[in-house]
Amino acid sequence: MDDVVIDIFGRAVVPQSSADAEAEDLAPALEAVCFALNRAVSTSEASEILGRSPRAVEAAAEVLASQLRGRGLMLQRHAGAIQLVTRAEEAWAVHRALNPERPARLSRAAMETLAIIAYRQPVTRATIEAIRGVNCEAVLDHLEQRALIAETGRQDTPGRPRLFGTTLRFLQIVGLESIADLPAMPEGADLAGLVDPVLEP
Amino acid sequence: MANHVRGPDPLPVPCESIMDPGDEPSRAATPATLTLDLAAHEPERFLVDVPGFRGTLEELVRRAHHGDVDVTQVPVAAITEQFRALVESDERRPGLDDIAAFLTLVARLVALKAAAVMPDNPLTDETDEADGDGAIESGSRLAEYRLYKAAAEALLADTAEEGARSFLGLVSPDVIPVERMRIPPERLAAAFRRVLERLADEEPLPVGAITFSVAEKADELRARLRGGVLQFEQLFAAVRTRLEAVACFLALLELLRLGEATVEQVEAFGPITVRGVG
Repeated sequence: MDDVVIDIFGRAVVPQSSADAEAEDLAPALEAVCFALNRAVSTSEASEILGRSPRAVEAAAEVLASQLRGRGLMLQRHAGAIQLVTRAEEAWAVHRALNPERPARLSRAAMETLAIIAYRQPVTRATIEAIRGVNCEAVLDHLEQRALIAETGRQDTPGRPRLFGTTLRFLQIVGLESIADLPAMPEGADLAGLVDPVLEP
Repeated sequence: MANHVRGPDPLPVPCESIMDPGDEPSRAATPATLTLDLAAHEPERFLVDVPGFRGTLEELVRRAHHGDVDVTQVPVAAITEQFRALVESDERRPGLDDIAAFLTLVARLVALKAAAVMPDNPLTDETDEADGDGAIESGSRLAEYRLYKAAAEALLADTAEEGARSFLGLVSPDVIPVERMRIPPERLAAAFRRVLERLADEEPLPVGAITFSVAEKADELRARLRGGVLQFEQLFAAVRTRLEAVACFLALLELLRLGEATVEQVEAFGPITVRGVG
């Protein structure tokens, strides 16, 4: 069992090093579970399977993701879920092995919409339409049907519009470990401050 | 405010084509089509006819947004006058939804024009799009749009060409029943056979008249499963032909294979339920 230190308030505290050690210990089990289930696993589900706290699972996921760097697999993490997938850099080899059916191509409208959602998530349809200047309803429906985007909540404004974000499937398509790995937008692009004068007064 | 005009329900404001028409740039792609259903049984387009532009209002707004039309020269009053004449005419009077759609579009046009005529905040830049790295006017939505367009190109262009870049593993068939198919395969097959028998008396369709894509059916099934658990029979409720039923069943098997669905029959001869995973 980990060493426990009593802090000045008399509380038992697991030293950071012990938490790290626990994460190191748990990482292989997490890897095995992800491999065996072969689908996205939520932190709470993994926590239940492994009998550890969600926080411990998240720490183990961090360790596992780091251990897998330089290997043929990677751990994708998004919105409280993880999945073990082949690394994007090795896609060429997997394509040769599986010769997978290519999914229907995305239109440019869909790609632009997806990029806006990826960089600005969570984002409302009104904001997307303000940026693109056209109605995006059908494009959003299509992206949602293809599980590339999902509703992440409702904005706390009149009408409570839906908020959209990307999914693990999106990460799989673009081959990123997490949204944090999205390529940086050009410097000086202060996107957060840009709003539509019509739709977002 | 346009927000209020739009209301919670989607308006018949036109949408773009979803599937990629090819490699041509978006400017050359099929323009957004403005179909104002001016008469219930006779859909017709409201065409804007002003100096320098003739076409649909949606196209005008799109071009103005992209900087292809000098919005400062567009007489908005003339457009509203044309539409007003239509509203006041006895024939082809637009419905409330069409009027709301018009107001939304024209409000956007006014906003674009207002932004363009403000000397400190030019909406359009003079840079030819082909030049690529033109001067970006921070603060303009055109600049923002171009940023995302470039980001989309960098992020997704390869994917569009080559498909997904990372893959989940393949689960061997003997694992699928335990994990996702909690029903003996023969019982699932029998249930599907009953569906086919129900459809046996349908009139055969001419060969090649209609085709069904398993991928499309899989997408439909995903969407339906997001709405909750389905009974196996419900999967085929709207199915009219055996061919379509086969496509639906293959789509179900595909989702099982991908780990996106589970099939379960708790007790023998009980209902077979299908539920989405994740």
